[in-house]
Amino acid sequence: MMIDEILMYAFVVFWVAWVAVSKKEPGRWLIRFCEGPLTTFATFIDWNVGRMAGFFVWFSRNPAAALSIKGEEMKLRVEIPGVTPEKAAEYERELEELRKRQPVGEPMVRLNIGTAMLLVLLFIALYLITILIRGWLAP
Amino acid sequence: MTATIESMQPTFAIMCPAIVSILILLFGKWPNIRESWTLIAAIAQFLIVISMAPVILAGNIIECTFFTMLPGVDFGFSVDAFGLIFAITSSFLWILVSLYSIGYMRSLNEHAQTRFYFFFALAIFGAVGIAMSGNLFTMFIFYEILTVSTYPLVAHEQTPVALAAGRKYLAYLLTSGTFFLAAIVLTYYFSGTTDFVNGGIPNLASEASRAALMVLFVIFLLGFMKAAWMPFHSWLPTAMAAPTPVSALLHAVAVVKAGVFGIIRVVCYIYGVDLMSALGLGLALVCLATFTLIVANLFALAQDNLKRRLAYSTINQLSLIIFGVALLSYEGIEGAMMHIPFHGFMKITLFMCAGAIMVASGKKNISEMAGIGKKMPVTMIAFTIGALGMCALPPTAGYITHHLFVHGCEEAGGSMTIFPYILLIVAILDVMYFFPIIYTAFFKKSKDGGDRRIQEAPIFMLIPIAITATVSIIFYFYPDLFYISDLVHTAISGLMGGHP
Repeated sequence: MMIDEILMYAFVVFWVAWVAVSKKEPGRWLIRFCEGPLTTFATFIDWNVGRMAGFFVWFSRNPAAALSIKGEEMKLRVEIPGVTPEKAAEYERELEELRKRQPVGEPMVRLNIGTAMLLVLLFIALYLITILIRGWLAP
Repeated sequence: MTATIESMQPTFAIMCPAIVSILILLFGKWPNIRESWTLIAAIAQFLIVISMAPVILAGNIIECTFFTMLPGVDFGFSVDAFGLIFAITSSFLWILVSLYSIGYMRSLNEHAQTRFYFFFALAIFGAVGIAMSGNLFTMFIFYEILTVSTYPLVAHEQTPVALAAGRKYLAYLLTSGTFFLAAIVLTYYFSGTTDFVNGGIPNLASEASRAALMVLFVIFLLGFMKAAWMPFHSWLPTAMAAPTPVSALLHAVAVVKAGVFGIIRVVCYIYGVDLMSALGLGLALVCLATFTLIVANLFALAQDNLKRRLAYSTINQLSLIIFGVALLSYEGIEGAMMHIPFHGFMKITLFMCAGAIMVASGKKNISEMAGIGKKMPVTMIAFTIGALGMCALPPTAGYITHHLFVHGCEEAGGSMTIFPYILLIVAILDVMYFFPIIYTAFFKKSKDGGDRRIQEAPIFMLIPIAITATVSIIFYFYPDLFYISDLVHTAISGLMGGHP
């Protein structure tokens, strides 16, 4: 029997004994750490990854307009502290005009999931059949 | 000496679920006939797959080539010992999950059941196709079929949560697919082939620079996000919105196993153990796997939803497989290959138990399960067996592979000798999040006295649970069940020769 195996059994015995005596699970501080800071950090990372993916989707709809919007936003952030409120409001209006050039979403024909996936798979099957026939007919 | 046998057997095995998917659509209005077709196809597929085992164990490879896409890139199947292990696992578990699905879907009176069975069959078509692919190109096609066919299963409920989970699932896995395609193109550019070769593609090392090979390996890893290694894991817990048979399919049989299967293929059959070692990629992969092992377990500790806790446990166990192969030692790779079926059986037991609890009591959270062990003893005993396996405790299959991983670390030597202690910490964390479930179910008393109407789930659900739990124990005493142990030894002999 290896040392890690003995330690493992020792921990199992300790866990069971601890629960039997104190009626509470051992390692509450670790569980609290996992439920608190660790989960918050994970949610933060996940949210940012989602935001990044969302940005790419938004960017891809009209990359040229997206670039100018980001450029204008950057300019505003740099200039706003040094201009009058009237000028700042004018900048904001210009930015709003610019933002209208970037489509928020595109109208699309919606299919139910089953039909859509069936169509995708049919296309894959058709592609494979075509390649297969081409392979068989080739000299 | 390896001999190649031309046969249509792999095609027949792969086509079983493809053909039955059409029959499922045709007989959609007759549930009994529709589900009978599923079961017949699952049994037929398993029989065809298992019939190939004696041929493979005799040192042969079964091949079936359809056409040549480019010089050196064929579309075809090639069944070797490692591929057969995955195929046997997938096809056998399909029988049990089909049986379980009948009980689950009918008990909950789920909508769109024909669609569910149709895409379920297609997912198995993809999984067995991956197992029997002879090269990266064929594998890629089935890899994408698997991704596309599992999306409607994840989004099955069609609630906003389920649809969001489906979108996240597709976003991760289709992005991963593009990386995989890029890696295939680069491999072809460097070596002129994408075939899986025992010990790695011979001219890969000579044709590409060291840096290029390292970058290529990273692209391959990104291509296998199905293995849910951190930080690209969050699609997996989110996909828990799916019905339980789908979770079982995702986490035990098809999707995640396809990911780790792909990583093992790349490490052992594209790069080869020697090249991996020379590039120092083994240690890098071990570090990545170790990070995932520990962090996934910490996340699991924080979950109250049973299925989400099991999902994080899956991320942990998948990394254990990656860890084993990254050791680049005989016993490490042996453990990794063996853990694919062993984990499959243990984890599917756990998921099916979670589904049975949901059907019988409507409970999803661990904190609500006080005293449920007394009302559902068969389910919770099976759950305990699966949990012991996850904690690497005897008498379960998990104990066998844990031993192999520890021996693998010692065999690898050098800095790897520290990793058995990390495996110990991981196993302790496993105990910390699995034992409270067992304790809550059997020893805690429900505050409201419990619902007296709760009883065991329907028999269609209990039979598969009992079978998988029993097999998890049988593997401990007889790892050669379904030829698994022999196939693993045959696969590694081809890679590294005999045991050192």
